[in-house]
Amino acid sequence: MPTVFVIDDRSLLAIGSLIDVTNHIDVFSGMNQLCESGELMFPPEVVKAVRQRGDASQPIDRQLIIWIEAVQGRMDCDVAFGHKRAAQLWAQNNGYEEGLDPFAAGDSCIVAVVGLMLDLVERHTDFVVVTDDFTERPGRAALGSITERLGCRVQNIRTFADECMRLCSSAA
Amino acid sequence: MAWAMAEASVAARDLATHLNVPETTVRSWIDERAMPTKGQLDKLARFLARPSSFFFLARPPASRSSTALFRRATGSNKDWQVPSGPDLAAIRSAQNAQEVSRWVADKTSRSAIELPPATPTDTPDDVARKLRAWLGWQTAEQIELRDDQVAPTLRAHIEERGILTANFTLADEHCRGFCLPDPVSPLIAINTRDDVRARALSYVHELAHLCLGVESLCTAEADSGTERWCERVAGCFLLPDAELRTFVADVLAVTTVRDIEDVKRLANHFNVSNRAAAVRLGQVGLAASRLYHTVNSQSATKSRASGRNGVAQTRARRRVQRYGRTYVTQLLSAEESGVLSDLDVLEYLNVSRRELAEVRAIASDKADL
Repeated sequence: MPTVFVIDDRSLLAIGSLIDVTNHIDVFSGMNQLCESGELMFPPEVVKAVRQRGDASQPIDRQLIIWIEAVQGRMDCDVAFGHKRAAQLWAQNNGYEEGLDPFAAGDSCIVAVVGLMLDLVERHTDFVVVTDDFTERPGRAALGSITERLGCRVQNIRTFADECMRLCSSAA
Repeated sequence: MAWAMAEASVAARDLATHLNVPETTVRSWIDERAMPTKGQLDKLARFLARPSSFFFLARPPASRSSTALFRRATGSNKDWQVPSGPDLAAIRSAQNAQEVSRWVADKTSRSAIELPPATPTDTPDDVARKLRAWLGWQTAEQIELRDDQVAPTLRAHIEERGILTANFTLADEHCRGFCLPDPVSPLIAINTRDDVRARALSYVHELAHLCLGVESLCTAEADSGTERWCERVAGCFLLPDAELRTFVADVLAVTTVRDIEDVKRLANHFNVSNRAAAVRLGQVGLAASRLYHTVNSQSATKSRASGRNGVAQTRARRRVQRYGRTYVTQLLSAEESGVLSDLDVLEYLNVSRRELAEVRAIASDKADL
C-alpha cells in the first residue's frame, strides 16, 4: 500500500508561490495522478476553503481552483461527524481549549483535515501530511504541530511539489 | 449545542422553527440521540453565530471574561443589557481581533498606548479637554466638517493613536457600543445602527470608558453613575462649555433654550444630533424644563446611515469598515515583517486573495470609510 498524502487548503494555496511558474503544470499533473490512485487526499472542506480564499483572476490560483473542482468529484474523502468530534476532543485535551479553529468566521477545514488524519490512523493507513504550517498563532492551530504531536509524518510543501514533478516526468 | 443555544438565548422551539424541523428533533440532537444532517448543521451554526466546527467540541469552552461580564446583566431587570446571540458574536469577533492584535504587538514589540488616565471623580470637562488635546481634535475643525464626516474623522483621529475601532450593526438598537480595555490593543466598538450624527458621541463615550480602564456595554439610556459620567465627557468633548455658551448667547441670543428650532441650529452648528444638543444644554443649565423630552419625541426614529459617496460596498470595504484601519494595518504590517503569512491575514479578515488586494488599497487610502 503506497503512502497517502494528506494536504490542506493552506498548503495548496502556498504551492504556487513556492515553485517556479514553469513547473506549475507538472505539479498539477503529478497531483492529478496521486488523486486518481487515491494517494492524495483532502476533505471537501478543503475544496471550499480554496475556492473561498483563492483569487480566480490570478493564473496560479485559477489553475488550482479549476483543478480542485475537477478532482473533487472523483474523491471520496467525506469526514464523518464522529472523526470531527475526535479531532476537537484531541484539541481540547491537548491545550487548544477552544478547539482547532475558534476564530473561524465561516467554515474552516482544519477540523476536517485532522478528522481525516485520525480516520487514517484508525484504519492503519500509512500517510504523510503536507504542510509548512508550524507557527502557532491565535485562533487557528498549526497543522504541522498537530501532526507531529499526533506522531504522524510531515513533508514540506516544496518536497511534495518536487515529488509531483518527478511523478509527472516519469509518467511522460 | 445546548450551551451555544443558552449563550445565544435561543430556545429549542426557535431553532426548530428556523430549521423547519419538529422541536423533538432539535431535542434529540441536544440529547445526542440523533445528529443533524450537514445542511442542518450549517444552518444551525449560522443561526447560533458559531463556526460549524464549534459543535464538534467535546465540552463548552470557558467563557472569556468580557463575554461573561456582558452576560452577567442577564440577572438584572434591564432586558436591554442582555446581548442577543448575534450581538455576542460581534463581541466575540471584537475579542478575537483584539487577541490577534495583542499577539502581533507581542511579536513586534509594539509599545503600550498611554491613554489620558481618568477616574470618575475627575470633572467631565477636564477629561474631555485632555482627550481633545490627546487626539488633536479641534472644535473649529468639527464645525467645518459635513455632519456625516464628523464620526469618520474622529475615528481616524482615534485610530492614529493606535486604538482599535470597530463598527458593528448590532441587533439591539439600544446598544450604542462597547469597549475592551487592554494596554497595547484597546478596542472600542460602536453600533452603526445609530444615526450617523450620534456615532461621534458613541466613540468619545467608549473612549471615556477606556480612560477609566473598565469594560463596558453601553446603551442609549445612561443608567449608572459611570455611564452618565462617560456621557458627560462625550458631551463636553463635542460641545465644549465655552463654545456652547457663546453660541447660545451670541447666535441664539437667549439665556434659556426653549425652542426646538434653536436646538436644531445648535446641533447643526456643532454637527451633533438634536438629542445630544438637548442633553448637553440640560447639563450646562441652559435648557428649559422638558426640552429634551420635546426634542426626543420629535426627533427622527429612523437612523440615517453614513454617506457612501458612490463607493461600492464590497466585502473588502466592509471588512475595513468593520475592523478599522488600525487593525487591518497591523495585520498587513505583520505580514510584511513575516510575523503572519498572507494566508493568516486572509483567515483573520475572512477575505479572498483578490479581496485582500483591495483591502490593502483601502487601508492605505486616507478617504473616509
